[in-house]
Amino acid sequence: MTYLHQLVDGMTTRPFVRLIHLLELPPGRLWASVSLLGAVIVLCELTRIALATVATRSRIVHVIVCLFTFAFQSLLLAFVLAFADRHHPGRGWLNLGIVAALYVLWYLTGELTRVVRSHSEGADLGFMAVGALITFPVGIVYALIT
Amino acid sequence: MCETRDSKIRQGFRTLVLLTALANAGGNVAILLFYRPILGWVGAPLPIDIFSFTFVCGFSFTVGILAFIIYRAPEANLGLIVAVILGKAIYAAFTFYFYYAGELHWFYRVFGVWDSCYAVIFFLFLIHLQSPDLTILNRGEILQSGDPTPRSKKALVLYFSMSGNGARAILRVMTGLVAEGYTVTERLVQVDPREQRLFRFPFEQRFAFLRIMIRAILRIPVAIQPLALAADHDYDLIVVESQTWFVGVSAPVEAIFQDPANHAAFAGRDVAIVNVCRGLWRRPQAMLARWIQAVGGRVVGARAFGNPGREPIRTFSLFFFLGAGGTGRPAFLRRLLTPQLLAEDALAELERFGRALARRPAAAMPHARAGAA
Repeated sequence: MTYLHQLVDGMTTRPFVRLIHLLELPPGRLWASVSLLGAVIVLCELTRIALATVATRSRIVHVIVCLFTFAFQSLLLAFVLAFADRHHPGRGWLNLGIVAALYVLWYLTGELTRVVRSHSEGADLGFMAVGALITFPVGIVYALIT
Repeated sequence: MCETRDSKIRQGFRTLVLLTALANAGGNVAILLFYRPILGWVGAPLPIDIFSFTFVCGFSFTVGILAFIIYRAPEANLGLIVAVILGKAIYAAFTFYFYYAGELHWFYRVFGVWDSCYAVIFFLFLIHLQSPDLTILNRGEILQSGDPTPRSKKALVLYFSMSGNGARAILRVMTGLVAEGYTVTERLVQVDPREQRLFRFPFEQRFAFLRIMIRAILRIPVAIQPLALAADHDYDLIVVESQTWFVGVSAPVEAIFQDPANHAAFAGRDVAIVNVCRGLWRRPQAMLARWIQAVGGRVVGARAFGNPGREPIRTFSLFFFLGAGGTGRPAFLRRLLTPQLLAEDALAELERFGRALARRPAAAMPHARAGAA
């Protein structure tokens, strides 16, 4: 029991706290924040495309592919816009610009796969647009009210 | 043309992989030997924890060796590529984390940048290498028959169509087959009566689209009426058509393969695939191909076509179509909305596909059909 207490008391959550802090798009660490989000966007899109033709009977893989088609990224970016505005009000329009740039990165990553594989679907601009309808209204509302 | 391009891409990736193999393996040996002068030149402090420093160098050296193994035989080491992607991405992530936390000298960021670039390069190489059989089929090739028995010139077409798009597509494949002397039997997959109302279009039940969507994402099977296909049927070709349902094969078509009673009908037979979709076809095509291969069939041809129109309006047109239960609604958007049926050029291509399937090269050696009951 003592060991368990020591284990729990000694647990460090600092990396996660720092990562969550980066989702605020903090003015002092903007580059780090954008790098993190950019890496997540690139990773999701490449994972979606890489998983397209493998593990075809796996439900888990299929759910991941569906989530990474647009839902995960667009919800994450919507959360970032809301979270950033709560912690650093008045930067809503700048944050929207950053998120728009991340959408461009998302599109370019998908299109890059067309270069390396013939008959790749590339970026799915249709579902990205559906994702944008989730992300941007949230950001616009926060930008207008703060 | 495509083959030459693919070969050049493969060679380009292999060169990049060799570069990181040498950099990782050679570079880490050099750093271990000369870390004092190197760190002194760039103004970085000497490592506080020499054990961890050595371990990291050892890990990075190992990744270099893995990269060299990939360089030698990329196709045989797809699993290693995944391992290297993870290794490099995690190394880059930790490097950036500690750099931005202010606990790492800028010199180490160089390795973070290198590894993050290489994580993407390896990811792209993986995408390039995956499922080479589908790459060949998508080039438009019709493969040699795997069925050595004499041709009966009879084909069976299995499909499921709610809106009529798939039915139109399969009709043109049939036209092509018939033009080449084939007798074609079409079988529309019938959903079990208990669930039939859910899968009717225009939707009849409340939240039908939502329910179908959730089922498609979670791959919940649907019961279909028995196809009653005999293992010793005399069709020399089976064509399977599927519409894309949330990045997957449509549930009623997948149900054909989920029923073990149908497996023998595909064993040792030539099978062709047709995918019809809004825009995403790679995964549904792969799903069908792998099912067919799993039950012993030989995929001799595959075609996939998306509805006409440009994105993103094509996607929104599909949602309006599904929501309104027909095309051209709402009326005030009629000019903007794109068609929900394949364009004529795609249909003409499908007819040519039918002809090409009928003329597919015969199996090399006539002998008993493999896998036949």
